[in-house]
Formats: sequence, C-alpha cells, structure tokens
Amino acid sequence: MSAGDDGLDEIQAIFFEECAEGLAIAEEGLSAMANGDVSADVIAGVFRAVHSIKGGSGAFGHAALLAFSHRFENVLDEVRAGRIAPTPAVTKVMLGAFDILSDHVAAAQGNSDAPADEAMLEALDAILKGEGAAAEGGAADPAPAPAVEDSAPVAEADEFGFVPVAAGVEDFDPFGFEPVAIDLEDLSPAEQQPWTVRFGPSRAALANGSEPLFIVRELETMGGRIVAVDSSALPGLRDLDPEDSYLVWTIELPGTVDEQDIRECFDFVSPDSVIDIARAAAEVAEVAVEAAVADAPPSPAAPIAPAAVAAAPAATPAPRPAATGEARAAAEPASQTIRVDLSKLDQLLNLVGELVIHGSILSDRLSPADQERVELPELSRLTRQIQDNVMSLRAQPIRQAFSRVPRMLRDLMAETGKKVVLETSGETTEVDKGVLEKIGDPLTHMIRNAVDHGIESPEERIAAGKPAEGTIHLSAEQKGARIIVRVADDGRGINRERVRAKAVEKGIISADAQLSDEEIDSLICAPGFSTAETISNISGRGVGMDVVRSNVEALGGRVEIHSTPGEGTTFIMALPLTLAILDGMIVRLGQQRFVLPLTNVIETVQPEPGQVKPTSPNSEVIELRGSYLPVKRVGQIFGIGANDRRSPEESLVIIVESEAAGHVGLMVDTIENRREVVIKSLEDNLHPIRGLGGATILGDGTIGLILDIDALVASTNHQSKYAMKGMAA
Amino acid sequence: MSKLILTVDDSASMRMLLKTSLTAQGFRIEGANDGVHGLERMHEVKPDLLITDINMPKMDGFELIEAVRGVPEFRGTPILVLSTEFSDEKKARAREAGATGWITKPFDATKLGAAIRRVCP
Amino acid sequence: MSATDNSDERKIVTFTLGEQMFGIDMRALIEIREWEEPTPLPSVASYIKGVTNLRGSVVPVVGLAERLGWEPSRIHSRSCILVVSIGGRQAGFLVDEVADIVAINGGDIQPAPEVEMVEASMIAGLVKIERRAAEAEDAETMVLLLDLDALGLTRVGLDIAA
Repeated sequence: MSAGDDGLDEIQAIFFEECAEGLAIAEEGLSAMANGDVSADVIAGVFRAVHSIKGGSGAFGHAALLAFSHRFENVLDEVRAGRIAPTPAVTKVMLGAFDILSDHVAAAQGNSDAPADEAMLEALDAILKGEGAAAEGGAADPAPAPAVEDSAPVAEADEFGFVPVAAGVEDFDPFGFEPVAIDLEDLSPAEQQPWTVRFGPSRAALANGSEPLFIVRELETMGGRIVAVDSSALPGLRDLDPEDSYLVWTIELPGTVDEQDIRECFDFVSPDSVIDIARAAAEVAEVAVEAAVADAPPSPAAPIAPAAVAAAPAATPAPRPAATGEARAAAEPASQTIRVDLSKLDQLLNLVGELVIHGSILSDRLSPADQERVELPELSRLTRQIQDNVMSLRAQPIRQAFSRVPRMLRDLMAETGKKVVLETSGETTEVDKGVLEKIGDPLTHMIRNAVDHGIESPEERIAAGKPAEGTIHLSAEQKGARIIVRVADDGRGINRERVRAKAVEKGIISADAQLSDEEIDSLICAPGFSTAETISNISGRGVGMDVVRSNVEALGGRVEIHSTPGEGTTFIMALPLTLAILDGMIVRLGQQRFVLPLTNVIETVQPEPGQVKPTSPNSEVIELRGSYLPVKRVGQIFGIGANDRRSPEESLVIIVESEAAGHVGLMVDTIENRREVVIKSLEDNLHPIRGLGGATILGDGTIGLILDIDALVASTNHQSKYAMKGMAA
Repeated sequence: MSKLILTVDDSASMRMLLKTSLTAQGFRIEGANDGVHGLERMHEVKPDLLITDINMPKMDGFELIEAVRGVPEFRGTPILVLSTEFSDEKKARAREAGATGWITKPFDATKLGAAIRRVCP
Repeated sequence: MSATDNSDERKIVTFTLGEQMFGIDMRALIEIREWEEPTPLPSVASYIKGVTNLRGSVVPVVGLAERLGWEPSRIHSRSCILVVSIGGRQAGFLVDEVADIVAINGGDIQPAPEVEMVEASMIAGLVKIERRAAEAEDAETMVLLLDLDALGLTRVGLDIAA
C-alpha cells in the first residue's frame, strides 16, 4: 500500500481500540444472554461486534484472529437468524469463544501468544452441526430455504454474477471475484479462437447505477470491437421506457485475451443481464442465457421499483422521499462521533484550567463594581460552562471497567469451584477517563476478595440455607462529586474474631485494643494484612485490600467496608468524578497557602482557650464534644513559621477525616476561601513528594500546594520529616 | 477532478484504511459512520460513488442503499457494498436494494481501485 | 575559529555562577525570567528552591550553584532563572547573570578536565570563546558546557527517595 506503514500502524491502533470496544459490547451482550436476555437486539449487537472484529482483522492481516472470529461469527449468525436456539449450553460455549476471541485480539496486538483454539473451534462446529440438524429435522421452521443456501456459502458460482463470493475465510481471496455464472465447463474452447461477447444489460443493471457504456469501453481497451447491435427488442416509440434497456451488443475480442479478464468486466453487472462470453465456435451457451433473459422482463418487479419512481418523478416521489425524511428525522438525535486523541482533551482541560485561574485572577484584582462593569460574572459563567463541557468530553461510562469482571468471575469460579452470579447496575454512570483507567485494578481485587473470602462453597451455602449460587452485585452511581462503586456479596461476611486475632498476631493492633466492628472490618485493608489461612491461588498474591485502599486513596477516593456476619460484605469505593479538578479549602500558613481537599474536611473549629491541650512536648489534642482528637500543626510539619508559635486561639483547627488515623485536627493560621482548583501534577516536571497530592495555581498566579491528608496525619509529628527546603523556610 | 467517494462504515479503522488506500490511488474520500449519517453525507457531498458496509448500527447498509436509491438524484450513483459477509442471500438483498456491486472484505487496495474504476471510470 | 566547517555549529547561552562562565545548549532554552521567589516544597533536595508558575505549568526552580556543589547564589538584581527543557520536562535554573548567546563549533569542544569543585559528570565539555571587545582583558575565556541530562531532576528525585 502506498500510504506508508506509519499511517497503517496508526489505523491499526484504532482498529485495536475498536476491538476493545467490540469485545466489551460482545461480552456485555453474551452476559445478558447468559442471564436469559436473548432478545434480537442483544444478539444482533454481539454479532455486529464480532463481525467488525473479523472485518478489521482481515484488513490488517491477522490471520488467526480472522479465522477464529469468522467461525465464531458463523455460529452467531445462525443464532441471529433463529436457526440455532440460544440455549444456556450454546451461550456458555459462546462465552468461552468470547474468551478465546479476547486472547486472539491480545495476540494480534503482540501482547501474548495466540491461544489454543482447536477445542473451541470444535465446540463451535458442533453447535453448527448439531443444532443446525436439529432445526432442520425438527420444528416447521419458516426459514429453511435460505438456511440451506446460506450454510453452503462457498463452492457454487454466484448465479447472479453479482460480484464476488469469497471462498471460506481460510483461503480468503482478498478480492475473490467468482466467475460469472454461465456454464462453460462443457465447452472445449479452441485456443486462440476469437471471443464473441454478447452483452445486453437488464433494466435492473441500469437501475442499480451500472453504466453499460463503461463496460463496452473497457472491452474496447482490450482490443474488442462492436460487431453488431441487436435492437430487435426495441418497442415502438410510444412504449419506449427511457429507464429500460433494449439493446444487446455483440463484441468481438482477440482470442489472446484472457477469459478471466473479460469476465471481470462484468463483475458488477446485474445477473439478469445478457452476458455471454464464448469462443467464436461455441453457440450452446447462448441459448441458456437467452432463456434466462426471456424470463427477465416480467419477473423483476421488486428491483424495478426505484426506477419506476424516477420514470415518473412528478407523479410518484411521495413514498420514497417520505422514507428519506424519516431517515433524516432519525438522524437528528443520532449524533455523529469523532475520535480525538486523549492528550488533546487533556490539553484542552489544562487550557480551560488556565482560563478558570485567569478568571479568578481578574476577580481578585477588580473591585466588585469593576467586575460588573466588564461583565466578569458572565465571563465566569461561560468559563464554567466550558469547563463542564470539557469534563463531559472525558467522561466515559463505567461499563468499560465493569466489562472485565464477567470473564474474571468465570475464571475464579473455575479455580475455586464456587458458583457466583453477577448482577450489575449503573453501568452507564459516567466517570472521567483518567479515573476509569485506574479503577480496574482495585475492582479486580475487590471481586477476587469477594469470591475468595466472601462467597462460600456451594455445600457450605446449602448448609447455611442459602442458594448454592452466590451473588455479587456490582453497582455504580454518582453522588454529588463522587462516584460510588459497590461490590456486594451475599457470602459469609467478615469473621471478625479471626480478623482481630490475625491483626494482633501481625502486630497491627495490640491484644487489648478496643475496636468497634467497623474498625475491625477496616483492618483487612491494613498494610500487610491477609486473612487467607492458606495462601490461595487467587487473593494471596502479596497484594491485597491494602493495595486497593492505597490505590483508591491515591486517586483521591476512599474505601469503606460494611459486613454482616452470615449475610455478606459490601466494599464501597468512593471516587472523585475527575482527577483534574479538586474542591479545595485554601488555608494560609505564614506566607504560604495550601489546599486541603474538601472531601477530607469534616468541620472547622475556632479553639477556645484551653480547648487544645499538650499531651507531650510534641503532641496536642483538641477536646471536641467530650472526646479528644489529636491535633497537628501543619506549619510545624512543614517547618513554616516555626518561630511564630501562635497560640491555638489565634489559629483554626480543621477536623479532617483520614483513613490511617481517623479524625484528626489540623492547625492552620487561617482559612482563605473554598474553591475548585485545577490539579497540577508535581511529577510532570519534578517527582512525587510525600505529603503533597500535587499543586495548583491560585488566583494571583502563585502556587498553592495540595495536601495529601492521609500521608500527613500518618506521619509522626517530627518537623524534620517534611521541613521546607526552600529559601523561604 | 478526481472521483469523490463516500465510504460508510461503522469502523473508524476500516474508513481510514479505505481513505488511505484510495486516496493514494487518486480518489477523494469522504466518510460516514452509519447509515443515517451516510444518507446525510450523500446529500451534502454528492459523491460519484458510494461504498457501504452492511452491518452497521442505526441504519444498516441495505436500508441505506434503499434510501439512497429512493432519491432521484442518486439513482445513477454506483453503490458498492464492502462487507465481510458473502452469502448469496445477503447479496441478493443488496442487489434488490439497488447495489451496483459487492466486494468481500478484506479487500486488496489495488483490486478495489480497479473495481471502483469499473463502475465509476 | 574554524569557520570553514559550520556543519556542527551550535549556539549556546552563556551565564555566570560566581566567577565561572557556563554554557548550555541554546536548543534547550525555553525562556529567561527575572528572579521571583518560588513556592518552597517539603521533603526535597536543598538545591530545589521550590516551584513556580510558568504559564500554567508547575516548574521546579533549581539553585544551579548548589546543584553543582558550590556555595548558594546570592540573589541580586541581575539574578535570572533560565527555564530549560530536559527530556520534555521543564526546570528553572537560578544563575547569577546571563552573559551572551554565542555560536560555537562542535569540533572545538574539549573533553571536561578534572575540574575541582564541580561534579565532573555534569560537565559535557569546555570550549573557549572570544570575549566581547569592550570587556577584553584576555582575548578568550573558558566556558564549561553543562550536561543537562545529568542535571535532570527526576533521577535526582529518585536518588533522594531511595
């Protein structure tokens, strides 16, 4: 291809994106089928997804993927046509075939070796044979005739001459023109005898946009010349239909011309046309063709319909344009889509962030009256709208993350022998692409954990009076600025005694610690904790719920666990809608401003004298409604304003919630305001800094550091640890 | 002026592949991602040739061809079907709908070019 | 100088740290800014002065003298920040004074000598340039060319974390 391989690589990359989308759609559909939804739409969706993968795989030369998707598609096609019933057994095989298909896609991308698919191909073939035979032999199926024809897609010449029949995919001729269907086998053409070609385009050939003249011209370029025009079919002028065709040309070509070349000229010509190609001596074939032509005029009522419309355009345009109008009306809501490189959206989001920042710079600098005069509020409103729109561009349904789960569950069931039914809801909840990319792993661990530790074996479940099949409900919903993802199982619940014992054993808690049920439950997210008594194949891989928690927290999210013994456990991930914008509280410490994520903030306290008490030279507590919470001086942690030891009464204490230390008070000089800030990563130009979640540019153009509350409160209060190294310190 | 071709396919990679290979052969290419969009684009760009996929969401290739043929202006526009399907049943349906020809995916760029020139020299 | 072969001609920005003149490849330079106090950061190497807002990007500001193991620069009216791009990442270097932009020939770069007080690994080589006539005492002066890749901050960051 002259386009160059670079271009092809790029297109191929898009193809693989489409594969991923197609796989997600197929899996969703197959799962729906497995759950009993075998509606035509669902099946058609799966078919189309696999079909598209097949189409592209051929174009990009992925032979193994092409071959497998073709065989898979054959089965889907039969199911779609109603010739094979989507029984649970059939659906199960197709789910297996889906897994192999995914592996084939991964292999085509070079991510893995091609999967062993022989067994699956046999299973698919068995469905085709077994079920197909059952349908034929069985019920009075209204579809038998086309079925027979369709099940033998290869071999026969296309009797329409309508263009190419590709043979089985395995030996796909990329442009497999099949010879026009004229029986010439019996003829023994004398070499070098000139060719005589008779060509009489049918009415349908004209109606479908063929131009006979082009074919005659093409034959002429091969050395052909028109020797006769048969106009005997021409009616009287009164009956002449300008849309119809009455002429038959006879063209002679040199005998040296390859027969195939001549036939190719007629590839697109309507099958009911007169097409007769023969060596000069052979007359036999003509008869057969003429016979076919004789049939042509009366019969093809249907194909002529469009031509009839145009023949009398004034009289009959109504029905067709109406149909067109309908189509156009349908087109209105059917929005067009374009593909945009994610980095461009990132860039756009950054620019909008700048716009927001500069908007706040303006409002900082202008008096309220001036703001009104220059219509700043209107500018702010528009900016906000642009921001919302850009955010929505990056929003993707969470379905993409959920779509990995069914296969994983199947694998887990096979490994553990447990039976689990997956229910999902809220798949259409939209979440920022950046968040979406990062919740896959935590989700995987939560599901593994639920199957491994939550759901009991079928025997155990039956003994407990539960159905043998466990249920995992996976759901997503948006709550304010958060996305809540839940993984709920109906298993045995958390064994708190064992968790507690384990935590004591591992030195995570002391033996006499008084813990609430919730606190015990949350221990399974403690670093290094694992309750599995034997390191199982699934969960005990050195990563556990502590990794889930730290990953989710790194996203600015939180993990909660609710468990009821004997009834089940629910893991809840609360995630930010976006990674790019944060609702923050701007606080001041000395000369510097910091941003506290508002999600961590519980309340703000203006301490009364004596409300903050030292408990040791390095630690303080605040008394709040009868209980004592540790207080940390942020300035001290960062080594800011160390000389200016304000009294607590001159400061503010912000009560924050942290995973590691529960509620903690952070002492700051003052609170400036609350606003959304655009998160700028420190990694972009530097490296991550513990205790900081990033930075932002404030309204006056200076930088505010975003605090990572959990990392801060988890630290001991040694000021050296986070001491500012800058010149201001 | 080189020939203008409208390609309708729900797969962006397939559209790009067509565009890349046919542009290299001197054709001008416009694209649409389903039948509904394809019909709109027909009216907008009035191509010399329509190449359409069959299996597409919203409006499939058959419906698109019928709709296009229903517009007097497009009655003479050649329409090629480019599909991975190759059953006679489907081809007959395409023909009935008004397709000019059928090409089975995957396609060879050179042969596709030749086929296009055959219906649209 | 050998103007005959200008195939390897390149431009460098020269600047001073104390008495020594340094140069960096002009292609790496994004802009020269006036000194402005950056926002200090916790838990970073002492030569990282903080971060500053460079057209919407959060860019670290490095005390180049300290980075090279010298006494910290004193801020004065000619103090500048050279904003450079190192492997796609941006950093600002605090220097005492920006001197000039001069063309040199790649062939004239000599390997870095054992220079005391400077971490040799950060010096890509040295080159002699002619002083501008007005200030000519010696005809030539020696410029130490910095190896920007060796000055990259991410690697440094990892070193610190380790």
